[in-house]
Order: sequence, then C-alpha cells, then structure tokens
Amino acid sequence: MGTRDKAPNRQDLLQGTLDLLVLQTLQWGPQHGYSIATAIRAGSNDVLQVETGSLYPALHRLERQGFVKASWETSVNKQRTRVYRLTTSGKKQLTAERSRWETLATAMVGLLSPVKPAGIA
Amino acid sequence: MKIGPFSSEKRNDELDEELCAHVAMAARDLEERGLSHEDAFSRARREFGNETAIREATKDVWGQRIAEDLAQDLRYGFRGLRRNPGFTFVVLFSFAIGIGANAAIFTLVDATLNRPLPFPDSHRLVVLTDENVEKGRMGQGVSPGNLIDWRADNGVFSGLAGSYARSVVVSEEENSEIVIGAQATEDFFTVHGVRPTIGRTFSPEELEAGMTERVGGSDAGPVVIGERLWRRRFSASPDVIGRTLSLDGITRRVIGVMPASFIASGAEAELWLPWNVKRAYPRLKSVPRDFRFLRAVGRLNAGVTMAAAQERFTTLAATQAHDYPDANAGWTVHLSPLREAIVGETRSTLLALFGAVGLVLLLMSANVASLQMARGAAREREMAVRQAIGVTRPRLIRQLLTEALTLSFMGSALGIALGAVLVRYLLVLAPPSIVAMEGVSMNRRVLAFTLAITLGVSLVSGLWPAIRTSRVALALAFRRSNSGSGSLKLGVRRALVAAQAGISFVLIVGALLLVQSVGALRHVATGFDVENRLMVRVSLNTKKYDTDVKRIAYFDEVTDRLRALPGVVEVGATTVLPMSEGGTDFSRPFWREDRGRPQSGPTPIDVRMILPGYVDAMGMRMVNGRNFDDRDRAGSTDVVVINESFARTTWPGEAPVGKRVVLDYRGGTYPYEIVGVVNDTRYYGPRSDARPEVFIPYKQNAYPALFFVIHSSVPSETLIASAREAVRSVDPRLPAQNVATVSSLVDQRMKAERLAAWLFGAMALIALIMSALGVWGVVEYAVGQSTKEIGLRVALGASSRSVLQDVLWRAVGLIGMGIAFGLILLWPLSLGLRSLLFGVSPLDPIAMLGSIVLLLVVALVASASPAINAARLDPATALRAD
Repeated sequence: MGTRDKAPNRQDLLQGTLDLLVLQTLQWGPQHGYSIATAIRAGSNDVLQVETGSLYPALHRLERQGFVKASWETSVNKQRTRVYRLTTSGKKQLTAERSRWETLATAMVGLLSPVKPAGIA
Repeated sequence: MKIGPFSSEKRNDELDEELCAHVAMAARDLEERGLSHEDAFSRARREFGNETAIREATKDVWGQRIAEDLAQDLRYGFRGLRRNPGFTFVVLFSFAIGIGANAAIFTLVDATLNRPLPFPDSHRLVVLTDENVEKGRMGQGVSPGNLIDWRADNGVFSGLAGSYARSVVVSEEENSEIVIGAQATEDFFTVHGVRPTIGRTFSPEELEAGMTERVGGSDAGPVVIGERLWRRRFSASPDVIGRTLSLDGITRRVIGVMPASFIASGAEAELWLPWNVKRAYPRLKSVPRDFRFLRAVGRLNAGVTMAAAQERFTTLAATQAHDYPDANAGWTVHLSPLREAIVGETRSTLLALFGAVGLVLLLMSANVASLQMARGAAREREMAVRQAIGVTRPRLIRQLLTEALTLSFMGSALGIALGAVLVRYLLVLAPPSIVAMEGVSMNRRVLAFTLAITLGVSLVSGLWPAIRTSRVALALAFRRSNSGSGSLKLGVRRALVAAQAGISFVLIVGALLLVQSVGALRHVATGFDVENRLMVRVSLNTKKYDTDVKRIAYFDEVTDRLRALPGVVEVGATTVLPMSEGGTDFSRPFWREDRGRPQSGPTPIDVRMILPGYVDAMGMRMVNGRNFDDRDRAGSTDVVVINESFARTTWPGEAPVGKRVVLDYRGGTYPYEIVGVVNDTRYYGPRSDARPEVFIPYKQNAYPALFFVIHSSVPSETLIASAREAVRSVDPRLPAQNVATVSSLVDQRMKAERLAAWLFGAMALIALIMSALGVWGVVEYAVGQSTKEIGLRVALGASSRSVLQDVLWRAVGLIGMGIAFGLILLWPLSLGLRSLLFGVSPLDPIAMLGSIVLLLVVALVASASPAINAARLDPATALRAD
C-alpha cells in the first residue's frame, strides 16, 4: 500500500483516461494496437494523439487486469497482428470508468465554465 | 510468479512482432497516401517513437505487479518481525534446531542407506557368511577350504574372493606403527571393480607366489597400499611405485595405491598382500575347512538374482556338509547384499532417530503455528481494516504467507549451518565403513530434502494460520463480534497440545530407555578396572629389533622407566588391550593334549602375549594357580595362563592348572602347560560376553608391538606427558604411538549409546517445555473463557477445591489424550532403538511409567497458576464480567 498512497493522483488520472479510451474503442469490436491508435485520433478529430509509448503498456496492463483478451490474427494484407477484444469484466470496467469520468467531467466543466451555468441555458 | 526461459522468450518475440506489425501497418497507410515505400517506412518508424523504450515500458507491466507486491510483503514482514523480536527469536530458534537436526540425521541416512557404494554396479556385490543355527553361530567368516571349492564352481558369481584383515607392524628407521592390513586372494580387486589410482594390483604370478615369507633382499614381495598410508608414509609422492616398506620385518615393494574410498576389508585396512590360499597351509594335509575367518565377497553375474544365488549356495553348502561332515555338518552359507552387510542394525537405529527428529520438527511447526495464530488474533483488527479498504483475501493470505516463508527460510538457513556442525558429532552413529568410504557430508540431496521440509514447515506453520487469520478478519470486517471463533480455536489448540504431549511422551520414553542402557553398560562387570589406568602403545622397528633378546631388553627398559614415574603403582603390557582398536588380535586352533586333535577339527582360541605385570596393572586377578614370573622365559617350559571361560568350556568340572593344551601356533603344534587361571574380561566391549582366551608370557614369544597399561595412584591424565617422555627416552626413534586413558577406551565403546541418549534427552526436554507451555496456554485460555460459568458454580455453592480439581482434570485429560496418541508412535520407534539398548526391553514399563508420571507432573505444574486463579475467583466479579 505504501508506495501507492504516496504516489500523486495525476498519473493515475491520465493513465485511467487512456485506459478508458482504449476500452471505449474496443467496445465496437476487436482491434489491434495500430487501429486503436488511429481510431482514437480520428474519433477525437486529431486532438488526441496516442503515444505508442503509452498505448502498448496500457494494452498489456489491461490484459493483465483481465479487462481485455488478446489473440493473434492475420489481416487481409496477410499481416499477422495481435488483436484485443473486450472481456465481460472489461465491459463492466468500461461502464464504471465511464460514469466516473462523466461525474468528473461534469464537475470540471462546472468549475471551469467562465459564466454561471444558468447563463448558458 | 516464475516464468520459464522458454515462455519469457516467446513473450518477448511476440511483443517484437506486435510492434513491428504496428510500424508496417502505419507505413502501408502512408504509402496509400502517396509516399514512396522507403519514405513511408522511415516516417512510420519515426512517428512510432523509441522502440526500445516502448518495449521496456511494456515489459515492465508484465512483472511489475507481482514483484512490487512481493517487495512490499517482504518489507511488511521484516518490519513485523523486528517489532516482535521475542516471537521472531523463538520461531527462528525452533526452526534452526528442528531443521538442523533433520538435515544432519538425513545426511547420515542418505550416506548410509541411499548413496551408492563406491564400487561399480555395487548392487551386484554379495557378502558370504557361514552360519550354524544349531550352535547359534551366525555371521561367521568362511573357511579357506570351502572358499576354494566355491571359487571353482558356483555358476552365479563372475568372481569370488576372500580377504583376512590382521594387524601388521610397519617399521622404518624413523617410526614404527601398527596398521591393519589384509591378505587378499585372487580376484579380490576385480570383484570389487576398483582400479588403483597409481600403479597396478597383483599379477597372476604374484598371486600364485602368495605371501611366500622370507623373500630375500632384492626380490621383495609386492604390496598394494591405501591412500591414507600413501599420504602418511610417502607424503603422497607420485613415484611411490617400487619403494619399499618393512612389514612384520619383511621388506615389500609398493606396486599400487588404492583410492581412499576403497574400503573392502573392514574400515581400517590400509594395505593388501597377495595370498594364495592353496599354499598357505603347508603343514596341513589340506586347506582347512573348519577355520572360519575369511571375509568373502562375490560379484553376481548379470541377470542372476540374490535368491537364485542363495539357492545355489545352499545346495553347495549341503554338498560340502555331506562330503566333509567333520568340518561342515550343520553349517550353511548366507548371502547378503554388500550394503546390508555393512549397515546391519545401524539401519533401524538411524531410522528411529530420523523418526524422532521428524517428530520434533512436527512439534516445532505445530508450536510455531499456534504462535502465529496467537499473533494472528492480535492482528485481527489490522487485517479487518485492510480488507475493508479493499485488499482481497488471497492478497492478504499471500502477505501472511510471505511473512511465514521469510521466517522459515531464515530459520532453515540457520538450520543448515547448525546441521553441518551437528553431522560431525553424529558420525559415530553411522557404520565406520560408510564414513571411511567417501566421508559423510551435506550434499545436493540433503539440501533438496532441507528445502522440501522447509516448505512443508512453512505450509504447516504459515498457510493454515494465514487462512484462519484472514477468515477471522473477514468475519470481523462485517461484524464486530468475536464469538464463535474462540471455541473453535480452543478445540484446535487442544488437539495441538495433545499431539505435543504425545510426541513428548515418545521422546521421553526413548531418552529413559537409552539412559538406562548407558547406565547398564557402565555397570557391566568388565573384569578389569578403568580408574587411573593409562594406555601407551609402542611398536618396534623390526629391522633394528630383529631378535627376541633385543625386543625383550627394550620392553624391560620401558617397563622400568614407566615404573619409576612418580605415582605409578604397577606397569604391564599386552598385545591386545580390551576394548581398544587395532590390536594384534588373532585366534589359533587348539586342543587338549590328553584328548588329541579332535575328529571334527580343532576350534580356535584367542591368543595374547602379556608381560607379568599386566594382570595387576589391569586390576584383574588370578582365580587359580599362578601368574607368570621370572621363571617363564625363553628356553624354559612353555607355559600359558588361561581365562575362566576357557577353563569352563574346555575343562568343565576339572582343575586345568597343571594340564597341557596344544596350540597350532608359531610354525607347529606344541604343548603348553597351564600354570594359572585368570578372571574373564569383556574384550570386545561391554555388550559382548567374555570369550575364551589364552595368555603366553611375552618372554617366550616376543611380539614386536605392545599396549602398556600404567596403574597409578594419581589421575591418569597427569601422567600422559611423562609417560610419553619415558618411552622416548629409551629410543628417541620409537615414540609412543597412542596414549589414552583406559576409561576413555571404554567410553568409546558406548559412544553411539551415549550420543543417542543425549540426543533423545535434548529432544525430550524441548518437547516437554513446549508441552508445558501448551498446556498452560490452553488451560489459561479455557479458564478465561469460562469465567462466567465458574463464577456461577461458585455462587451456587461449589467449593474452590472442586473448581481447582476441575481445572486440573482438564490438563490431565489433555495429557491423557497425548499419551494415547504417543503409544501408537512408541512401538516403531523403540523397536528401531533396539540395537542401542542394553539390559532393558524396548517396552520397558519403568520408562513408560516414568514418562507418564513426568508428563503429568509437568502438566499439573503448568496448569497450577490458572487453576488457583480459577479457585480464587470472586463470584460477584466473575458474573459481572462480559
């Protein structure tokens, strides 16, 4: 417990964000690492650039935690790729993380909004 | 988690492939957008980033969690142990002793019963012994005449050889010593299948010539020497071949050196002489069949079983009994595997000890388990809190288990160190031949065994308490109440304590049996005194002292100088001292002169040469007739003194003094007049009965080596230095070889028994202490739990005496359960000890009763304080207690 208690939450948050994005992407079907990265980039209108240096550790971590499952498949281009798919516990995790994120996002939006929420409405 | 090299490699390759696929796919996309193949690839690679860093970061994820957890658990564990130094010390101490003793005994068991003997295909080596059920003579050597027949035609052995170990005086200018040497027949070395490290063994011609005595000057006969003798007398010189040794005054040429592990004629043989059995008895009409003294070893042909060989030899022996009834009627041959012949009864002793130390380890594990549980109970809150904040139960168990493993492995490391020391003291329990063969030390098998028991101990003492503690914590996390877990725990603890008491019972019985045996051995009437007796061994250089006159003059001078030492009462000497090792012990055929050579062949009698002072110096006494004196010298009538056993067996109901006995000795059969009868002594240790003996006056047969015995009015130890100096002053080149008190020689004969008594005593004491603590703990806890009930009883009029009795009965009941359990274990254990016991039955009622009484007393003492507290309970306070 000791080290985790001392560690700042910032990294956890970022890490959690990437994990959430990966799980979200896999929700539509099995994909390999490259396509997950492209999907996140395309889905965010090129705003979110996924670093491969974070993506692969995240994928392997999710696999270890049992949220995703990996298997080797051959693509139409005869390219052997490692394909990840969501597990049942991964789906649950996605739901939990998403609601956590939504709570956080609502709070953040509320805090950061320059005018009172009432003004928007 | 351990990942094998193969799977980890595969995983690395797969990661590489996965990352390459990423780059390839990115490049293909870029190519589709119009880039050239090369450009697309280099850009894809650039955008991909630092491949090595990515690979490492990913790999970190794989093992990170477990390694991190382990480090954390270890940190936790060590912190916890530091915080509880008392607990840590007790547990480490228990493990070190328990595991150390087990490792040490296992080392002996492994070396004695498991490790292959240092001969190729040693399972095919068979030892042959003669036995005569009718006469009750088992395990006798075989006779040369019969051996020749067997060698000629047996059909089951690829080779069969005999040897005979005897003492040989090795003398040089500088120093002389007596060593054990063996006369070896043809095939002796090939049967054992061991080659010399240097040189060769005997050629057919040398074996044909045999030990032809008095080989003149340059044409010295051959000798093969052992490694120890080679190191001692030739400083391990590689060019030893062709150098000479004077053996019993005959010069011999060294032709080969056998490795130290070549133990084939008893543990002590250090040299081998060629022996042609057929030519060894020129004075007899044929090679004797009634003289059973050879150690015979055969090598089974491939595919021949022991049973088949035994059957064949039973037939052969029957034929010989029919053809030579005088010598062989009633005799048969017994075949046993070499290891069995070497190990004998030691097997059961070692296994009994092994069982005992196993029990002690079990007891210690149980003790540690209950300590862990007590500690677990104290940590219930901590565990509950940790579970409440989301630590899973397997994770909690893993943490507790890591702590337990840390403890047991630290204890195990201490135990191995302790075991390595212990082994050296325990060697006396292993057969000497086994120790001599390759030494006995801890090897890989011992370490593997130690690892296995350490894991076992960890499971017993760690896993179970870990599961229980975590379960209790789980319950606590939801409910604050503690009820329910207490009664279950008490039941478990009662069972543990009963088991401890049972093990204590067995160990105490073992210890009492052994202590009684040692006591009995010490009080055996050996026929001689040990108090203030010093032994000094001297052997002559037979080149310089080549005549009887020179030898007698030398020994007379030594006698006079020893006698002149202050405090010395009497000085005597003999060729073999009772209970000493490596004396010149031999037997010769004899018969009564008035009856002539018996039809059935003569039997052998043990022969010793003594100086007249020997009888008094040893505290022996003449039963009849006279001791030797100045009348008995070279040239006068040949006389002998015999012992009571000889008188009783050969002249029953007659007075032997004045009669004559014929001995086949010194190159012929001559009559000797019996002048006296001396009391019996137990030559071969307190366990063996006295054997018939005949003594020849030294002056009529000046043997070149003697044991002096010095009886003094002062403690023997104070004479050691001056006795050495006195011997040296006669001839500076002939130092005393061996100086020891006679009582130490007798003690040596009981070494195994004394050591076993010590071991069992120590183990019993430890077990007893643990049982006492266990009983105290359980009774104390039970009284604490039933405070209310006791209060109620007192309030309802129960006397404090009945409360006291009630609590004490609990303790007695526990011990009773334990003893019942112990009785089951007792039978195999005490039977295993049988070969160490003396004058006491393995199921001796005194030992059992004593053990029961001791346990009960300890239990009552241990439960006295909680019982008194219960009896003094004030009902008003007790009933108000929660």
